[in-house]
Amino acid sequence: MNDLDAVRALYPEDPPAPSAHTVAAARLRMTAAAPPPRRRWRLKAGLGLVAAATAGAAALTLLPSGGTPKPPGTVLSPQALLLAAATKAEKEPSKGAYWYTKRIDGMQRFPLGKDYLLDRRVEREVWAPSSPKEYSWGIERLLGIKPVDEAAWKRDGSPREWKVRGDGDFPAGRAGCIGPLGEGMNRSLTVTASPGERYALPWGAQPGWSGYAGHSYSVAQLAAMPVDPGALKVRLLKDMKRFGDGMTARDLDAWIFDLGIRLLVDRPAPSALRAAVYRMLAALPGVAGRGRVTDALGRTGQAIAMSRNAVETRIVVDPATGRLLSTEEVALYPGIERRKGQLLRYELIQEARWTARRPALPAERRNLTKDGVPVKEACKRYGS
Amino acid sequence: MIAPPEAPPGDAGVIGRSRDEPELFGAIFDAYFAEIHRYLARRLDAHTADDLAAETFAVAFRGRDRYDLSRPNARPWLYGIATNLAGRHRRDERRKLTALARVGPGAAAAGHEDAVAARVTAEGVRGPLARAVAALPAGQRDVLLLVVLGGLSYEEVAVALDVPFGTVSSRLNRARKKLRKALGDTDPLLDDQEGASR
Repeated sequence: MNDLDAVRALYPEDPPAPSAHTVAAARLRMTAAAPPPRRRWRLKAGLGLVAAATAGAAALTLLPSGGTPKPPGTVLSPQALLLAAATKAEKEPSKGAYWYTKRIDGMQRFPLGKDYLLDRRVEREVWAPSSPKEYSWGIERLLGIKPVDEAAWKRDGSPREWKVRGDGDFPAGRAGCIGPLGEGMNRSLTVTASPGERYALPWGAQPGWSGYAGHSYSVAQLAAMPVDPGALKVRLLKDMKRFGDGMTARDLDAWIFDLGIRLLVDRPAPSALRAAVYRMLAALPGVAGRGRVTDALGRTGQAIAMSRNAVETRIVVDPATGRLLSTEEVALYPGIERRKGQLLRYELIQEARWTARRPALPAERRNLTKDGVPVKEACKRYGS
Repeated sequence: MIAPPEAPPGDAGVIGRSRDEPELFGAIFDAYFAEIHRYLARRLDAHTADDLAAETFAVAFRGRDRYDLSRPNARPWLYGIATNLAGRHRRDERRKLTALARVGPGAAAAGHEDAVAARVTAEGVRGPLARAVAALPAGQRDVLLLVVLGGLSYEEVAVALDVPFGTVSSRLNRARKKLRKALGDTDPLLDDQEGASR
């Protein structure tokens, strides 16, 4: 039998509850032992202080808030930051043929047999249509692969070519989708440091759809999503159920966080829905603040994180504008071919807005059949 | 510029405001006292729990200025305080476990727990199991009982005990190895699923 259940069975399930007297005495004891609280002093037109304090009050301050003076640009709680972003989001007009994002997407992996990480970056535009008749498109360009630890790379002889394990996300020269069912997975592929040319690929299996695997939504679905944060969470949890039961509440919350971010980043979500997502994230237990940060593009913002087992998802929000600046998934613990702090994925968002323009697709197209329709199995990569 | 920050939701909001308006902390007491008392009463006994649960909230109240407002849920914090206080009663705890080894658990719970309790008794493992729990190093027993009796997740245990997440996993793994030995399981692959729930 399960050892944890057995331990629980050792203990009484319902010990005697505390009497009303015990509870009342405990409540009294809680505050009676405390030193007198700080009281607020209010400054009245320079004529002296209006004191609400009792004798022995400590920590006088002259500020109306009663707290220590905060420097400008103070670090907000994650909830305050997300709620501010919600307010900003719902004020933006959501009109346009496409929700357009331009960003630098990166990931870090160990090449086979080496002790340093490689960082691979792709410049990526995603065009997600507001019309159910248009396809979503990605236009990408491999920016290159660099070693994260230059000293270790130099000791290795400064190679410009490496063997990596294909894991669907880090294949040779092919950004985004893996080939038909499993091609490239777990096989050794050769990658080079060189940048590549622009190409287009579908970003949804059918017109009006954007995203893949568990994160895909149609225009109609997005329009019908509840804009009350509580109802939205219920709806997304129902969607998550497709991946089976057996997820703890904490796991589900972490997946909700990740799904919410996808809705914010590159889905054609109406303003009211964006605001609802921010508010839903603000109410998730386990959302933690990570303070002020500067991202790889030199922009400052405040970071918020949510951890899921061995991975932490972080987002950076600009408190001045409420804009989402970047996202990243960080390994929390070392493991097989994994280093603590390794950036498993990251997105540096340069632009995210509605546009009336249409994408001008480059000549090279990938993952399309001869008839120009997305290859069905091509883009089963989970998570985008 | 954006509007001044709103109060954080949940317990953190209450605790934050209670710094200047102490009476608001009563909401934290009301929400969690019974649960903390139950945890302590199961680990030790009801009488000791009366005292320690009250002390938990007194300590929490006195320390509310230092509460991390980025944590909306105060449960791990409170369980951490309660566990620290219970740590002063380790000898009593070991004596209690020895007593548990001999008798049944008391008021029988219905359903699943009842079946497990019956099986634990029937297989004669109550004694070895209780002794195994009593023999655990304090850190491992605290992690084990926060999970089993408190229903905390690993992350919450890490917050409660102020240790890294990895420490929680490794302590629990070590504890479970010893428990499985006491249950007579020699197959390390047997039944690895989490059985802990409230």
